[in-house]
Amino acid sequence: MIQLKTICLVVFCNLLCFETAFGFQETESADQSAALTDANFATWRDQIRAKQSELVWQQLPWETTYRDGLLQASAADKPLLLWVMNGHPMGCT
Amino acid sequence: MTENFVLATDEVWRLQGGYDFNKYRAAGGDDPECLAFQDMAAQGHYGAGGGTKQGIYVCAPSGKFLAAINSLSPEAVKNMLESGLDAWNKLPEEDRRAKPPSAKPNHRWEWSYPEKGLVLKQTARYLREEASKDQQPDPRFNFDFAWFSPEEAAQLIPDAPSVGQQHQVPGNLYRRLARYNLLDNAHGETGTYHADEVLGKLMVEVLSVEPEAVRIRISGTSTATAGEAEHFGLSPARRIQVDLLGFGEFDPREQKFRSFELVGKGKIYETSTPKPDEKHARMIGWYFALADPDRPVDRIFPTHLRAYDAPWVKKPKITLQDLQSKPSDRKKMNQVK
Repeated sequence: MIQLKTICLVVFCNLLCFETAFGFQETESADQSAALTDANFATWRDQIRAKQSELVWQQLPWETTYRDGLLQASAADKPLLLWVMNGHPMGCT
Repeated sequence: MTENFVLATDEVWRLQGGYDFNKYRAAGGDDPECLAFQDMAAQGHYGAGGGTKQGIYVCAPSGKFLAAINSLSPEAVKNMLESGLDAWNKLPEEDRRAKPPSAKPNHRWEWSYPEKGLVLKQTARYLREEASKDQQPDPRFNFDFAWFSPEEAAQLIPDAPSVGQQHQVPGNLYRRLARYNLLDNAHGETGTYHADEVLGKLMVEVLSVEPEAVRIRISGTSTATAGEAEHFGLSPARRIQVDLLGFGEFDPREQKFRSFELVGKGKIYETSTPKPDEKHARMIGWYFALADPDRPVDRIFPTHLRAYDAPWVKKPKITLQDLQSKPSDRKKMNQVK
């Protein structure tokens, strides 16, 4: 599932001419073998949460249901591009 | 792309009627949105038979199929989109302007969204074993959500909170996270745990108390162990051991969280009973934070919402689990607590 999601991410971003650079945010180095503590909480958090560059595809104006997509497409007089996966593509797939 | 298309995403398992849309319809499945999708997708790359309909589709607002593909190739997807756009441009005007089908759903899980509750967006990502300043985060990550009603969210705060007070989060709320979110799901969907397969707790320490804000520190541990009981569908990891730490700010006047962050750091084992010196197979992290209620993409339902033991979750007339192919599976599923 993550492989298809990754490919779709690349396709959509390439079509928009966005760069998908997975930059590393400078954070305090942390010993990842250490326990989770107040002192290293922010470092672990920053290692896990998605970076802005990883969220470019979510910034597109996605309708989140098939029906809403059809209604918007009708209002806009455009075809609908519908992306469906096991697990919602905006959630866990 | 947005110049030429309206973009939409949706969850296909429900739309396609589970394993087999023929069985879905034979069992009385009649959700108009699902039927409209099935009719459209039947003309696509997987045809009219049962089974998955995952992929990317292009259709007219009327639901008229134009093109589709399920491919890992960006070039192939791009070609399909161009083909779909070409088919759209060649449509007669009356077909382009034909109105969408009613497709008004009978049920969507999003209708159970807990307004003014605690809605958390989760990022799950594999973690590197070695740390260095120049290290890139693992590229494998995934999202999910966890929902708590306003009443449940308030249970994270002790009655009459005082600085230094220790408060244990109710077990049912801990188990919701442990069973349905603290999973090996950075790479994709995975199975969940039975209630008696998770052991742990979440503790809240009150850091400060003001009329407009109660600040808390959340900590805990959780161990999930896949036992002998059958797991339906996907199987969960054999064993996950998790440490948790987080912070939140609760507004007692509005009875809701203004900020919330929770980090889980987990070790995944290949066996349910690892030896004392047995090394974990991989490390995984989860990050929970408040979802944005004004963003549709942050209002997606949790993957395992259907399993929540919560009366505020509205369930559909036919659950797709009811359509398991084997009667013995259906019986066993109904016995799982």
